Amino acid sequence: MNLPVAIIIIISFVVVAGALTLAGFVWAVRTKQFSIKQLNEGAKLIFDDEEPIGTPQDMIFQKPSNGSANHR
Amino acid sequence: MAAQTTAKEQFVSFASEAVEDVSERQHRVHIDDSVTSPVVLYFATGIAWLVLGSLAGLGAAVKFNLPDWLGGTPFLTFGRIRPVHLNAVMYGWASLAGAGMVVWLTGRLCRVPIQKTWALYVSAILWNIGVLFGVVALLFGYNQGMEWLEFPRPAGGLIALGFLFFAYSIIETFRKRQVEHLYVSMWYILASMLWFPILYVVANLGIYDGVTEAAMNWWFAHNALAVWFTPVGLAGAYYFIPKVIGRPIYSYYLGLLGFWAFALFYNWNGIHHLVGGPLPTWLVTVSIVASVMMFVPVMAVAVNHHLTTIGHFRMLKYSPTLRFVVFGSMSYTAVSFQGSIESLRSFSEVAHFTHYTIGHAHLGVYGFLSMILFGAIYYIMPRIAKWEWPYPKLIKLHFWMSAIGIALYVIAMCTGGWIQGTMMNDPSLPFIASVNATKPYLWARSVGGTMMLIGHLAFAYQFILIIYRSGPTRYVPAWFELRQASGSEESKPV
Amino acid sequence: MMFIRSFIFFLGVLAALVLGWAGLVGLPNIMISEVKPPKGLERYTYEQAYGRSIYIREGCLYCHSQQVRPVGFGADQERFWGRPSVPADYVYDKPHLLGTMRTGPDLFNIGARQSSEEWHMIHLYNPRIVSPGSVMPPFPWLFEEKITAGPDDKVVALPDSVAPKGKVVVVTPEGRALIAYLIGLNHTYPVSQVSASNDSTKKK
Repeated sequence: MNLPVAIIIIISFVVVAGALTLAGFVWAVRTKQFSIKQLNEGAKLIFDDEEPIGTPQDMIFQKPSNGSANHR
Repeated sequence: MAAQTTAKEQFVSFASEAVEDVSERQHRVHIDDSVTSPVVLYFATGIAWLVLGSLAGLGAAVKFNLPDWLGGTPFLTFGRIRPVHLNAVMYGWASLAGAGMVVWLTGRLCRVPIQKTWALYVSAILWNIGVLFGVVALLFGYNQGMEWLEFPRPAGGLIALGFLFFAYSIIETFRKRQVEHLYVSMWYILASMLWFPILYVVANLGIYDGVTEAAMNWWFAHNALAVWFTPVGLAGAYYFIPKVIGRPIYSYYLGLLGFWAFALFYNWNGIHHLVGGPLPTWLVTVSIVASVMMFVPVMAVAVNHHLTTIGHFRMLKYSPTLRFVVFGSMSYTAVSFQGSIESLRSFSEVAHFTHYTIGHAHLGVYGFLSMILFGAIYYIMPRIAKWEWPYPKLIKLHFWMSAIGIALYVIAMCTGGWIQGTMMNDPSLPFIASVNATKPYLWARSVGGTMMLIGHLAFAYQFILIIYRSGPTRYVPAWFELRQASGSEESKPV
Repeated sequence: MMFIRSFIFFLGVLAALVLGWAGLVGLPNIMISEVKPPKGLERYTYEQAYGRSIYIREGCLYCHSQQVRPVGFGADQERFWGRPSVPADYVYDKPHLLGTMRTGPDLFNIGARQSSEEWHMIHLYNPRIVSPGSVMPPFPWLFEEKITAGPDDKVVALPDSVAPKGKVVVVTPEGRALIAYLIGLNHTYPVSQVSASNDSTKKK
């Protein structure tokens, strides 16, 4: 197989793959796979009531104010 | 005193009581409980390989400085301990610690206890036996002859099998998930569950020879980064940065775009390891283009990680996890940009075949991946061992030894490597001149490597303390401490 | 719907990997497998093949490459390391030993540059004897010390400062095989343009 044939094959691959990807993307948008809600809220998935947004975790190096490890 | 006793009573009752309530925290603790033993097994064996691999690495480094050191014994010759180092830290440390982090993350992100934990035990055992067998084989001189694929077939088979059992547990947990949507970290994890077994098995089939095998070799080696090691690191960074800071990731949509761009481009990078080599030009060019296109997903990740962190650098003072993970995410941006530039022919003409490549590789697997894994372990362990890290000073020692060590390593190797390449390309200079010029930088590398080893020993020591619940008794686990400090009503244990 | 979403996800992920393999490995393999061995390239002799396995065993590939870069790319040509290597040169190589480091020089044509068995013996025994400043490891286990050399033994001509007192150092069969392999590394035979397709080479 020489170079021109190889290039034709590669370009066909890319075109087909690209078309399939585009089709998948269009399908996803049409059938509302990606809701605006998910895009806006998705980042909040890792938080919950016990570890809400705004509460930092893992403050091991935090110096307690009265020298005890128990509370600030 | 009275306050301390109360805290102790609270802790003791909290740590020992059965979980019956359905409050969020109880649910999360229940999930954490389900993963404790397998995760500790993964972490412990991973850290053991970290120490062994670091020793092998340091040994290999010193042999550049003192080539005749321990030169009489075949088991310790550079050509054998160098692949021992690579395989021990990649298939041992990075893979096992990564697997432990993935298990814990999967429980948290799918909000369900880990399923089929028996498969995780089988996985850890097979995997470790595979790596051990492979490492011993290498010392005896059994080497398949390809970088990243040195392990003899039986060892590779055990590792592949071990990974399949691990993937089985993760996918079963995914199927039983209690969440409507999956967080971005989970996409990277799920993709790697499918990608890595296929990649590893195909690469070990041994059906190619000649330059095609070289193409396959480097398709594999770079894809191992693309489909296993980098996704693990990114999954960790995407979770721990927003979690520790307490703010959501900057742009979820960018995360989505970044994931698919990552999947598309990274798979085509491999042949940039063979620029100038005996392969068709178009093949090399394709990989160079894909390597440069990596700017797209890397920028998406960089925007997400760095813009989430901006304005909260103060928290680096307090959180060990955040220090390690932010260091890691900054290294990811740096090493990726460096890699894109490195793949260009004009750059590669100088840097290829030199220590520059080694510097780049370590910025990636240590500066990026290992630092994130350290941060993950510092976060996860108190939550599953129900014991706080006893000596914060040791954590600081670990961090600074690792950070300064890798900085020294990368700067030394990249500078020395560039000089080496420039001199190699100057035909008026004898070849030995390029070797001699690198010697001071190779000493600096050994210093950096020693620092990293010291950090690892501190880390391993404290890891042993925490799993045996030794050291100064801390009655207040990390998250519990903060919730008490916040003074809210939720600070009472349920 | 959940299942379809997961299915599409896994399909897309799988496609990314498979397409990458097809483009980087599958397709080149089909093209390169048509390359015929050049007339000047011989198969490895038994001893050379054995020596090649020693090369792999001792990890030589971690410091030495076996690929010569084209004209205008680096100084490979100016250092007389041979003509640019092409895929046809490697048809008998399994595993490939292209290498990615040049802590030491490229070895693809070392047999053409240094065909002295005596030189290689001293060099492998301790590289710094013939190559001051080298960081290459010594390989004393490819040699053994004897009181007197046997009739078929090859003695290593070590300088007095490093030779063991009262003994001679002779090369073992393993050492001889490795040296035979190294001396056999000679790819200076010509190749036709048709079978040449290395990076930066233009086709006619």
